[in-house]
Amino acid sequence: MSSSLTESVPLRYSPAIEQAIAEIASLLRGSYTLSERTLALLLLQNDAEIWEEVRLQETPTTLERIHAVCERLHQRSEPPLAWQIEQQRQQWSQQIAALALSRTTYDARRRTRADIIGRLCTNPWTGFPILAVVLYFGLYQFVGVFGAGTVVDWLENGLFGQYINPFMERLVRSLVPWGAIQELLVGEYGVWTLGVTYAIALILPIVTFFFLMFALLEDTGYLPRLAMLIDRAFKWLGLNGRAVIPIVLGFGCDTMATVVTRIQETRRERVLTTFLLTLAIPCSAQLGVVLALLAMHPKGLLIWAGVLVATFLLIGWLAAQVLPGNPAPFYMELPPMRLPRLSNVLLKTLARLHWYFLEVFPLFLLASVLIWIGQLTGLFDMAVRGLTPVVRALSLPSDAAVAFLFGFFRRDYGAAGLYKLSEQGLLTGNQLLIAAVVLTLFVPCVAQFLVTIKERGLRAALAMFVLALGIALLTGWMLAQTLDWLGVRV
Amino acid sequence: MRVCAFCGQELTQEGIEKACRGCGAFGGCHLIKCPACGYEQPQEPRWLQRLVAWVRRRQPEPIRVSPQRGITGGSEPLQRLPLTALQAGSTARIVHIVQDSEGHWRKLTALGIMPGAVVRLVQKFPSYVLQIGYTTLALDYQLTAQIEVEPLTTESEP
Repeated sequence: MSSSLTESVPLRYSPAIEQAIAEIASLLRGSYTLSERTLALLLLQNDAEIWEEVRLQETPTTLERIHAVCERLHQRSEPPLAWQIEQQRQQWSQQIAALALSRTTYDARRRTRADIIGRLCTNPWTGFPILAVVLYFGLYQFVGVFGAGTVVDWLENGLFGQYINPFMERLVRSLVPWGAIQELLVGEYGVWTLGVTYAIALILPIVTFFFLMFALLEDTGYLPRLAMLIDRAFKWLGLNGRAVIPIVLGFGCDTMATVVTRIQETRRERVLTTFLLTLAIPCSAQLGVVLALLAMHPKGLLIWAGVLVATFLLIGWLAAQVLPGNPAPFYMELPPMRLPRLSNVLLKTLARLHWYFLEVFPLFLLASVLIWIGQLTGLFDMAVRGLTPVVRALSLPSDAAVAFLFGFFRRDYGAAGLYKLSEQGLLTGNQLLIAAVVLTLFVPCVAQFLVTIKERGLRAALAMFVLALGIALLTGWMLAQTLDWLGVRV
Repeated sequence: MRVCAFCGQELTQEGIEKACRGCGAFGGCHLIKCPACGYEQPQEPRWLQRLVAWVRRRQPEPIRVSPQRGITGGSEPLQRLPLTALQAGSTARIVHIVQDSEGHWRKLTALGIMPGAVVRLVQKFPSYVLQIGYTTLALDYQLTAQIEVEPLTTESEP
């Protein structure tokens, strides 16, 4: 906006407010970055931060006089002062808009194509089917089947499994004479064979496809409409529609989603969302592997999804009852639907991938090294032996304990471990299902746990960790008993 | 309002109960007896009542102004209602925002919901969707109920 325009329509408040502003401005002596007029306005509106700053710079008598001016105006103001100021500003902005904008008369009944699509997405009759289609094609087909299935298969089994890994193995074994170091680099859980291969061949394609999809959804303006559709249901979980953004993002990466809970307004909501992310939202890497695991057992996949949704709702509802406070009100602007710009989508996807890769890659390497140390010292075997009774109680073979131990490092490590077991034909359909449920609900991965500590504090993070572990094992046990009792075979 | 299908008598809950008392049966018949002519007609099941109410609501009709609330026109607001009381598709002028202690009204004003603005209620379920000028907003029940409006007839759309 050109300055001449704002000068021609000066922002002036009602005489009483203007007088108070002038009085306060004349009292201020300290040096501030803001103009005296702005300071006076903020003081009148009881801005805590500004009061703090003024308190540091002014003498007690000045402060008292400012207080008196504010008090006097507040007592005379009806409706409240903040309200009046807001209203006068709004009028001012409308005056300027009227001068600057020339528009043809707006007809709300004449709709563009974007309007119609937007309406279809918000109307409950068409909105929910559209949501189902978006989830099915966007998440399941595009990310799950194509990204996590086809592309991962080609990269992991084809490119890495047949060409790169055998070559690396030969190279290392010919160059490095020590068995332990060979094991560290190219052993079963080696830095290259596990860390690098998983990061590049498994996780990278899955998150790439997810971020691409998410960027597309973001740029079309669909997400606010999704939030608006879901708000009522989320109120039941003590959240509001805004939580849909971290939750959907959680299907990509729970670590990033935990950071995104910042968009929520109250601590209560952030805690609730973080907990649900920790517990019941599988990240894309995990989702991909679980989908691949249960792809041969469609009934199992259905039960898995059912158990997960039920846990999400039940635990969410319970948590909302336990935590004090009320859901924050929901408000959101619905921007017009737009055709996303390819360059923008690609740029965003690349930026997120860059962030993700930098964050995750070292952890993969670290996990490989830790496992290697664990194996050398025998700690790993001890932990596996310790987990064996737990795994047995879930009617799983003791080999699955290894997968669970991996689950502590990364969510998908565990699931990928299971994938190996099932490839060897060691698990029945039922066992796969139980293991998949427990691992999905299981504790957060190292990265997510660290971020949770940073965002929510150590105490809350530990509580969530223990709760998630307990709920995961309990649910798995109950599922095992139920399947057994009903004689269900998936 | 229910009427007898036979004689057209208005059926009140009280009248029905009185008429039924004269009958020897013990109830559970799902029939309504007219106190005037004694004609028995089946009771509409609740889902049907809801369906009828829903179909009626779908039909566009001008906003009715009940006489009790004062229709005396002039520049006075015809009536002051929470926005939630309006039907989807209707237009209204905002006359007041309820100022709650938690300061939610500030958010509303920041979104351009101010007294004097003309707002169109686009839909009510699952969330409220309002249109003000070029802006479309989604609000929940709690916030929408804080907006008090004066209904406008459909001719005076922005």
